Amino acid sequence: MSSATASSLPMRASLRESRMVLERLMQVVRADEGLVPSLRDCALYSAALGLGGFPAVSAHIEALRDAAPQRIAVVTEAPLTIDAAGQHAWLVAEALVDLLVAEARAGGAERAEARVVNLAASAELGVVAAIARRHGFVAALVAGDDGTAAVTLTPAGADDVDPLQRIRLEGLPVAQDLWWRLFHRANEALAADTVQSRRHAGPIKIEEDGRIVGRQDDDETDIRLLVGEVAGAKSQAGKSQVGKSSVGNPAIAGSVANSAAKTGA
Amino acid sequence: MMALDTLPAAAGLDIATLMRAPARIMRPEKLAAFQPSRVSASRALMSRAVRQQWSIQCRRFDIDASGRGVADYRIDIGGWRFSFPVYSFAPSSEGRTGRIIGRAWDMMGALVEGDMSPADFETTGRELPKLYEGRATPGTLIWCRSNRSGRFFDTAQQALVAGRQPDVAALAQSCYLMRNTGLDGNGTFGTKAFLTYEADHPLRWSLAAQMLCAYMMRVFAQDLVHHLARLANPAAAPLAPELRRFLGVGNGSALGLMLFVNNHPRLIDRWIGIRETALAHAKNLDLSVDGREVRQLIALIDKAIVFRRQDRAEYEALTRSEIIADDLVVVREALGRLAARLSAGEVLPVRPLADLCASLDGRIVPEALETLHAILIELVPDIADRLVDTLALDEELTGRPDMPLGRLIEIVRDEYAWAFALDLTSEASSRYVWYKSATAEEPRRGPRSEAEDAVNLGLDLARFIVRLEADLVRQDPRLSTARFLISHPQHRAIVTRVQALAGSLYHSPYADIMSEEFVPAHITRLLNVGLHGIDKTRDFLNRNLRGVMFHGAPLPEDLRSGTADDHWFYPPEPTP
Repeated sequence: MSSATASSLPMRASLRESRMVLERLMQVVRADEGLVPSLRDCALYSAALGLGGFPAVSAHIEALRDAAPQRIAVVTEAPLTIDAAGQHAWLVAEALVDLLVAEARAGGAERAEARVVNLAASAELGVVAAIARRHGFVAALVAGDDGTAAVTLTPAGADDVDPLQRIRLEGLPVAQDLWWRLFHRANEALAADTVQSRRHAGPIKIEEDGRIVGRQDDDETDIRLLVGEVAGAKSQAGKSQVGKSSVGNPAIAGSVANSAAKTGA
Repeated sequence: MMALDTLPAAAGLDIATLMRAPARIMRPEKLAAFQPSRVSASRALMSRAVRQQWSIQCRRFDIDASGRGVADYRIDIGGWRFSFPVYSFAPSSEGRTGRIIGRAWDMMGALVEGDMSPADFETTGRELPKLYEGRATPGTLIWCRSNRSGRFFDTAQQALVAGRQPDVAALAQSCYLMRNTGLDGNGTFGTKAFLTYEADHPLRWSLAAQMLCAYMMRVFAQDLVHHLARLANPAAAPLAPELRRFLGVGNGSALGLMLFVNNHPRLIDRWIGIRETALAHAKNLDLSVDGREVRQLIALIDKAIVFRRQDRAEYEALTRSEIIADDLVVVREALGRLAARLSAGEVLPVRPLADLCASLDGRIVPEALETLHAILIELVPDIADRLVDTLALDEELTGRPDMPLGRLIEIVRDEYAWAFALDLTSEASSRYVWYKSATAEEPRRGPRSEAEDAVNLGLDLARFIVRLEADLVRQDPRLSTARFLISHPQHRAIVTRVQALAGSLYHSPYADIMSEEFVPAHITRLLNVGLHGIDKTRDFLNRNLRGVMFHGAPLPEDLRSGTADDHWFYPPEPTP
């Protein structure tokens, strides 16, 4: 089997891996950290629900680069209408579901409707289905080609599948070559490795004058790992060969479930 | 206080009153004093292994004198079977370090459900070294890797080759032959997601699978040193069982555990909660007139005193073991007085063990008091074990968009009062940034001025809270959270976190982790010592710890035969 054929084979990315890559992609375009978990999960649901998903994520994150979510506003109350101000659907989705959930619960009718206008990437507003499920609702979406959409929220039934649990069980299908392209792009969110940076971790550190700080009585560190030429030369090797816990996504609201016991982190 | 009690309501109230308020324990220096206990992951694993008589058998050991080759273990737990394939390598000094930037490992392994097919065994051996770019085979729970402790492994091997036991004094410098350098599961590399473990899965509680892997590293390390000695000299001495029990598996940890705490508030809350619940149950015990509870406490305290006196580790900033031992003597004396009163038939206070703890609080170093707490939990083993079973939880955080802002402000002010008391404005208070390096994704923490472009990964909880409150007070308190977030989208993540965790007591340390004053090792200790159950954690530069787990733990033959000691911890140094 040629490598090209192998790379186009589908693989299944786990929930945790998917979130890690998608979260870092949001960091690559410097999305507001208060919105990163929400945007990450919109991208996740896009893949899980058969919307743009992984193939379209690179284009979508570019649209988030100059996001101005504070321009999104409620413009009429009856019917509830949201002006998305040209913002990407992922910036609107959770805010929209929030408004509908609040209205459904406050009204006691357990049902709510809203219209959205001036929406970018309106088909991606389909992620509201998965977001609504987290609150115990089902969302029905009708999206137009003109940047408009209508969403209706009704209570979820016991048979409605939890999209997150399905991702946990089955993972998300993605072509291998696409996955690894996204994986490496996501790693642009990681900091460049420098000799100075290497002093920011570890049981010992080497100062600029070559002085070793810290006890070495039972350390087995190859000191060359901490100094210039090897550190730089091995940077790429580290990226491709070495890893540890993938826990580190700094989701404020998100979480990456039970993780490595680790160590050495 | 917590929904963990299944006891009658009145007893539950008693327990609630005995639990410590978060303000008493959630500061980093307090959390850092937690000691290994029955609810620590490694000890909880051993409790189950002892009770259920787990079977661990080596099925294959094809490793040459250089250390290169494979081994294969089978683990039977009730009706469940697991495989532990090992891929062993010749040690190399190049690229070797306890940090995750290391590129040399002496062994890699996996924990896999069921019997592995030869094809999966081969595939795993090929994929493991790729790590992030490798893919686990179906049914894989964990990938792991470890390194020999070069000096001590070689010392042990040479002694066995010479037909004698290794020098205990030398081995007791580290107390392990191999050191864990990585455990990954829960979806990483395509491993099975934790929340999809079946309801009757024996490893369906947090960190159980990782801990089993760590135990297997210990098993393999001992088998390897014995095997290599035999290859050098067929008449080599076998490692004595008491020395094998004494030797655990090493572990190094550092800054990544702070990020773990940030990202797992529900798990942290639950784990500290079950620890406090178990402790409260113990404090609530009535003492038997025959004094058996106090006798057990005294026996364990005596072990702990010897353990601390024999500790050869050198600590930088942590309390030295001899000081802890001295204070454990104070505990011992107090227990002795309690025993005397019992035997004299005196009337004791209603909750004598709660009184005992209260009387010692502040008189002895925190590590000594937490040692007593850990020992107290051994009085309620069934309760503690049941509580550990609750460590299987969905950690998703979902907000309450219908919540009025007036209620949200109450929660913020009540549950995060600590944040408003911090200095969050001085330059020193926000000097640091947490980030990961492109090389190996190593978590690092340094002055922002030295990592200007790094994406901050640390949860700046205190500042998020203070800024949120400042915006909330300017709103109509009847307004819904949903409306607030429309106009203040930058608060979405922190609002979700606050609402999802409302009512939880122990989810986040009370600290400004961006501050120069923050000591990362405090949180590393909480996880390593308290949660993981690691002993003799030496500290390095206030940020790294290195210690030993399964120190004194039963051997596979002890488990299988049913002769394992449930109180295996605090092992004394074996005598020649």
